[in-house]
Amino acid sequence: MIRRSFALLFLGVITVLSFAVVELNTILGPGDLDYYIARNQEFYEKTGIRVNITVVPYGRDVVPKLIASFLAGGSEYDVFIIDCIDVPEFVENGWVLPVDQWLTEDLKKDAVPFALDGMAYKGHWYGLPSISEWKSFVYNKKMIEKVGYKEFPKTWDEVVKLSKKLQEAGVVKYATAWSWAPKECLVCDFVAILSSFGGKFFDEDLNPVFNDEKGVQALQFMVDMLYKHKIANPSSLSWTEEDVYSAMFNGDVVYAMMWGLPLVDLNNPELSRVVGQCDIALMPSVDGKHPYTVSGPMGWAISYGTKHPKEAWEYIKFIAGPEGALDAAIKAGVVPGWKSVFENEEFKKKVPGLDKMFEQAMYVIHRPRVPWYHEFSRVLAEELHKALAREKTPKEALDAAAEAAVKIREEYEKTHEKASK
Amino acid sequence: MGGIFPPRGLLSGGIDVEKKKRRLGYLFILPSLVIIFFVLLFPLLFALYMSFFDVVFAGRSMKFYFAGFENYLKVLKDQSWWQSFMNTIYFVLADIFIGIPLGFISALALNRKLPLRSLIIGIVMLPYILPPIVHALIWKWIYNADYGFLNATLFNLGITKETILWLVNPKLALISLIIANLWQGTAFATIIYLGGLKSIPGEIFEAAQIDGATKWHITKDIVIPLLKPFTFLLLIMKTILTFKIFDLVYAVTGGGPAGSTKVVSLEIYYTAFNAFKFGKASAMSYILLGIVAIIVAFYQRFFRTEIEML
Repeated sequence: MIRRSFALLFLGVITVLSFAVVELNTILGPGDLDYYIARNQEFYEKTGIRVNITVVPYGRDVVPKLIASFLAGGSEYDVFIIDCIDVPEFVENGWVLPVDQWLTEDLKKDAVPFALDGMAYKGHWYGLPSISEWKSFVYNKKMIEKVGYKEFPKTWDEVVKLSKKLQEAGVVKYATAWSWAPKECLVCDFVAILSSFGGKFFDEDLNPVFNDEKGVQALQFMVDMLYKHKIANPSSLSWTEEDVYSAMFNGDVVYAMMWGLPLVDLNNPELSRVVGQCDIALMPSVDGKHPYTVSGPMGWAISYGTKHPKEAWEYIKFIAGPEGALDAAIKAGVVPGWKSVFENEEFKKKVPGLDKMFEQAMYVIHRPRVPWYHEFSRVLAEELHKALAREKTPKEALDAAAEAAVKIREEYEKTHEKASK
Repeated sequence: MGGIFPPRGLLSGGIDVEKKKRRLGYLFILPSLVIIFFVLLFPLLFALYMSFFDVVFAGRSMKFYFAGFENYLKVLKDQSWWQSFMNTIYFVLADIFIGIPLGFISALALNRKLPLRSLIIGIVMLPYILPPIVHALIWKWIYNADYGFLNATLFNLGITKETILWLVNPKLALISLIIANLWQGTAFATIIYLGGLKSIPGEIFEAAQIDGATKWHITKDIVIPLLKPFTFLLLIMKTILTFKIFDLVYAVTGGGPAGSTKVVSLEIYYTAFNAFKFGKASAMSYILLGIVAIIVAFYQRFFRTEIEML
């Protein structure tokens, strides 16, 4: 009798558990929260899988919390948004599951190359692209027409000439502004400008080369924009992206770089005073042949500690696959990482300048993809800022950053070699 | 008390009752002790422990490699640390030598019958009540070279025709942040001194006035000496609080331009949560703690009388 009761009880528990709702957990910043809540409800209705969201005050705040969860087994958050600059560190530590097994050839073909590449590391893929942004070069067409230009120049020399004309004609006080506060935003702008001078960060053995002739030229040009040509607002040294956007929205500057879908905001009368006046151009370069900009792709990834990897994949495919990305692009303005979405007519109608944006997407450069990036990035930002504040020459600042990069790399390799033994 | 309760031992089992009472007392404070241990003591001791190790992410766990005093030596040899330390010292000195006297003067001004006194006190207190990030953002806007309140005011008053780059010039940026910090620090000193002034009996002032003492003499010979314990309290509080300055610098300049406004807490934060060097960051924290402890001990030596009065 007792045995039978236990057997029935056991069967009952198994039955209940088999019908229990699978729950996934994720962690997000406050951006587009309503959108994600609505999508999670749709996902639940479609699959019966619940996705709970933990919200942090600022997007980057997820990183320390994620790391704490990874060190405690990695099961607290099943899925999460990963920034391309975090991929190497997360992968090296085994914190993120590879998704190669689920990534079909069709998906690979449809992905915007840089966006998927941002989710890749050492031959494996670790997420589906989402919020696959890059910095677009935006300019005020109406303002440049005032000084006789119909198209935005392709070389930096021509840009300087145009800027001086605009300032002499009294169209603006400063032709441009940059996000050169000593933070990640400065490194992003340097990556873009360095690339537009044909420079790069590291060689194949991760030796710094950003302090070579091209690197010095690029940084010198940034300094010259402030002090020699006087075409960039000197407040740029304390500005982040938001300040630059405000200047652009107010018509205080003629051109700038913006993340995301800039023309959507520039044409929004609630935000902008220059509605219908702006357009997108390819990034100018030293010779007109290197129109490179900086990338900042993110993606949805799966924690190594999830107890529901299949369901986690189902979710990230739902939220960040081509169909999900189209939905996010149209409803929340999330930049897609799929070619099919860029070709979608509804999306094209909604986002002006999409063709030009997409053209730029073929010329994007990632920030250095090394597991010690964050430490290096901070040192680099500080040294770049010393050059921009004329505390050091560009050569001195870049040499100091290069020397620090070698030290950081060697220290990382030494400690991690010890840890892997 | 003795009249109400019989002497110990007269009741049978008096010692047991005492013991039980004591045990019960320990039981009552146990939850607090547990919380204090886990929230205060354990992190402190763990940080001290970490400061002697190289803490490395080793895959899915953290590994600790004994480093002795290496982290401490690295910090002490680090020029960037010393630059941050010196900047922090400037903040502390300004808060002590300018913030405390300003707080004292404003407390004196507010400690008398004024129309709308409560409202004025409320306004003076506002900087102290504001959340630190709001305080920082207000000053970021004030100092904004293009849209900021300060440049607009100076321009409209005809004091300057040029845009002053408050947060771009390395020397000006540090001074600008020190002033922003004083805004909050002065309000704090005002609150403490106002409390102190209220604690001085009115009869002392009346007697001094009857004896023909001038306002200056009352301030110099009565108010300042009687407020010494509060001054000492402010010295300690301001030294500790200002050494920890973080939000203002983080939000307004991020340590720039060219590292000219970097402070110790910012350095610790970036080392811990940007470079994930928890050992080195812990060593930095303990060096800071040591320096602050030495300064406070120095205060205690020179203000022994005031401590006794507190």
